[in-house]
Amino acid sequence: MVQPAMPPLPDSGAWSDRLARLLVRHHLLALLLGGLLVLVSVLGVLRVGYTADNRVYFGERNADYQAFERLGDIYALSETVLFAFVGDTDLCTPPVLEGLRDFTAEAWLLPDALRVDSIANFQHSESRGDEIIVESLIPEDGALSAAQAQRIKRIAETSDELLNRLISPGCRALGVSVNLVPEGNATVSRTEVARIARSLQAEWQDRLPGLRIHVSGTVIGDAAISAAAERDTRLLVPAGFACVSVLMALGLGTFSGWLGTTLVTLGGALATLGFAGWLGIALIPATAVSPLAVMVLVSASCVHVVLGWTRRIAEGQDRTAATVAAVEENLSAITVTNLTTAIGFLCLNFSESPPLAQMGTIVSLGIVVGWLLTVLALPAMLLRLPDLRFRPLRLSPAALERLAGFALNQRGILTVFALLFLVSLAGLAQIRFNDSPLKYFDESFAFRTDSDAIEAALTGIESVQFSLDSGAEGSVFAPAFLNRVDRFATWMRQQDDVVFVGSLSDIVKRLNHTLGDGGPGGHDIAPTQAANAQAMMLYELSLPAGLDMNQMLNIDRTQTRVVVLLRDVDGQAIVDFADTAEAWLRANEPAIATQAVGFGVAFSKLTQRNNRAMVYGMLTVLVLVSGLMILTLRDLRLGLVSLVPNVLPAIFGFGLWGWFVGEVNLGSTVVTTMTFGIVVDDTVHILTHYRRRRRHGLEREEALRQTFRTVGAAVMVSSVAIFSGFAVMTQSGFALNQHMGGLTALVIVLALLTDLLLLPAVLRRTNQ
Amino acid sequence: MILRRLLFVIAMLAAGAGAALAQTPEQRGQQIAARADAVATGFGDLQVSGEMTLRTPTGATSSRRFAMKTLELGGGRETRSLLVFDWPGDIRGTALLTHAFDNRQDSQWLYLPSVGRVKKITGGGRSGSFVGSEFAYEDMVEQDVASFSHLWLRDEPCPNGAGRCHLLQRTPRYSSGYAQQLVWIDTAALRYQAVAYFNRRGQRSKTLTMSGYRQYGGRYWRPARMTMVNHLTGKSTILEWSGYRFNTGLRPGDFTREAMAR
Repeated sequence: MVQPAMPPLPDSGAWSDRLARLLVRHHLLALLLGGLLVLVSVLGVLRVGYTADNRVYFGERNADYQAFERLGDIYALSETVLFAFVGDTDLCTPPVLEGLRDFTAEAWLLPDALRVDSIANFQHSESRGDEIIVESLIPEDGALSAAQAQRIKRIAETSDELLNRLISPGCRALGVSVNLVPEGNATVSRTEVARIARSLQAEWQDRLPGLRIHVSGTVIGDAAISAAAERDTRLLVPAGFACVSVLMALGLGTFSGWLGTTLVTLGGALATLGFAGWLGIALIPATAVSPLAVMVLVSASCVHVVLGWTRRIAEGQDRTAATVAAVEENLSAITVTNLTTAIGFLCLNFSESPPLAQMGTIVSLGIVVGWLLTVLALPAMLLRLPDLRFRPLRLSPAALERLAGFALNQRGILTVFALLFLVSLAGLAQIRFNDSPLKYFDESFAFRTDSDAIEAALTGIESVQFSLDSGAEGSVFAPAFLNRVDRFATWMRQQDDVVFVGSLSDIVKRLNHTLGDGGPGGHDIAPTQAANAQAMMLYELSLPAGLDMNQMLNIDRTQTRVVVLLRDVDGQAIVDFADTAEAWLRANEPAIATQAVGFGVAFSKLTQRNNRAMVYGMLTVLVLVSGLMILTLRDLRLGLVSLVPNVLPAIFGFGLWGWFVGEVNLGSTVVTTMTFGIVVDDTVHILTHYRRRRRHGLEREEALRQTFRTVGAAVMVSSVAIFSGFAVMTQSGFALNQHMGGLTALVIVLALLTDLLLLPAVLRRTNQ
Repeated sequence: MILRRLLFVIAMLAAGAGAALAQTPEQRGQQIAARADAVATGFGDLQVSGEMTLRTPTGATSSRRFAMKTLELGGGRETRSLLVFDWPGDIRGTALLTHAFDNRQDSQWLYLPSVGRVKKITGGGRSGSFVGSEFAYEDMVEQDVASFSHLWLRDEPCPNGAGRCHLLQRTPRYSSGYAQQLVWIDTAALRYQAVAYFNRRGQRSKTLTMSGYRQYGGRYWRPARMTMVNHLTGKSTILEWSGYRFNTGLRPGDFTREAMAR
């Protein structure tokens, strides 16, 4: 797609002039070609699908995610649905507990449910004489008495296996957790499970009006992902399109130019969606906004051509001559700018996260289509459609010249930018990573509000897990091993963000307590492996179908899974906890040291991995684009000068973001690479025109004034259009898009300011 | 015992009278199940060794070994069995005693050698995972005909390739880990060839397949291998029986709480 040869150079006038004339003479044929191009790519739109799967963010080779998958294989873990009953008073009353029991029974009917846990079916163990009674904490049928309800509450509240997971202190909230069968064995789609879970929630909300029922879990989160993607493509992309279109109309001041631009950008956007379909890329929120990005970027090229055209018509040229001149004048510049933008996006392929790489690929393809359409279809529109001039909303050429003069002569500018640079560097230090699929959604999603309510009232949503290996001991029931596990669990319970720790050691202690008839000294880990194993065997033989120990023990009973629930944590806190816990194990219990595993852990680390990967992406873009600039300008010094307005905006942007927002996520990590190709555009336009005038023997100041007069309007109009398009993305309910849009918009504005104010000041001080 | 013999005779007579006699699918199902039960029971006592191989979808395996003794009492209305574990080592000597009755709930006791005590088990023990395997205790032992209502669906080839089978649907009359089962009983010798288990939401959760049937004492057919596949988790367990011995002279005294510790 990218032209292998060197791009056309300015001042090689002869051939760009010939090409422009050719395009104008055969403009209908060119239009037809453009139309065919759109048609072919757009057919792919039919194949576009959305995916409801959080796992797509991970590449095949992501080690953290592989560890998470391995854990799932060993303990038959998969996705979850978590229901919570939340009330303002003590919920441990006979009617609510009976409701919880019936709800628990109904939750088993969710398609593909593997296991359901609540305090209702918690297998409480009790010793009566020589009889061991293991039974559901809430009797399976019959009405409850107030005394029974109190007993149930007392037992549940004091159980380390239940408190802060399935019951809150004071019984203000109760949970029902559903584990699903592994994806490969599923009989219905997870989206369907989510839908049925929601209808179960609604039905029971009517039956139990005195409390609130919330639903969360990974299944609900996945459903929210595809809902967000659909919402963004259905609302945000059209809104962005409307916004850019209105701005174009205001800025261009010509009907034909406006309609031409609109059609070309629409073609580019549709082609982007089409490529997603052809390449078999399932859209997620992060990729769903790709057409919007293409739309605004393609519009920038059109603006330059259209404004060049209107300027010439205003100067009295006829339509054909004006079209030829406008195409000729911009052909090389828009080729270079589209090429650099495409390279910027293509380098998103360095990303560790496939959706971001995919976005890079389809956007760069869309840009290439947009560029071809600008060249092929726009001239026909300018020639054939009614011009219909109106007064545009933009700076007049005279005002632009005054701006150039100001930038050249105002000595304070360098100082101001130097200060801004320092402030930005300090701002970079304020940046904190926050990646959590849960926190990606804003409050407009029920998934987010439900999850927040559950975290506030009942438990933590983020889980971190450790698969502890008994190693030399050879069995999880070895007392030395169980004591290690117990010490680790005890340590974790003391950590700030931890609300719950589920550990085998607690169950073994409880069983020994039961076996020892509840007497003193019984509440302990037995001194022999046989005693612990046999206590567990007694318990296992008593468990009903579906409530076995297989999600905590591997089949040969040499490994056990410890689950930790963290409350209200951001991505950084998850990684910090994982690191601290791993370090504690290495230092204090090296025999069972292992890796902290979890979806949240893998996701949070993904951003860090992605950041490292994107450094290479950034360097590649920097080298390629700067090389291209130097070749285009055929001027090493000017090429080096161009680095200033190209690199600084990203530093300013992230610096200010650090001060005002602070949080960045996976979406932000690609902004630098992505925006580099975009911000370069204005620099290319300004510097090519400037250099052309300098070649014609103009003084620096005069050359710059004329450059501003010629391209200033186009640079401003296109920057405003790009800014507004990305600003629309901030209205997404999904943080990846909010941040990507917000940061990019910020960088674009800062790039415009840098180009208009700092670049002249730098050029003035450069010896040539 | 007399009842069973009687049923068997009636069944034979019915078969002899020819298929022309109209039967409802319920009657037919009940009859086939009763005949299958009749040919499998009446052995008196039995000793056998079992070895389970547990397997995860990724290929990890683990084994459990035990010896099992069974005694029929009261004309088949009561069955006593004692299962003593040999492996894994930390549960060696642990013994599970079951008194199963036709018309009332079973009783189970576990002897724990580590503390030298016998504990009576009260709970859902017969339907849950047996020592971490895909078998429930109720899947491993002979099922009492009276515990189910049967419905004959059709005759078709056995799913494990063992010739032709009667396909019955059976619904538990009492509490069970399953809502329904499909059983395939071969037409040649009325042996259980396969069982499909369905959970409460009607989803097939497990499938049991028998193989390696051999006839002992010229009369009793027993499988050498039972394979249970869990369709929900993808895990499976193979249970291999070996050293079948019939009529070894076991007595009720071998199936008491006191006998467990021996």
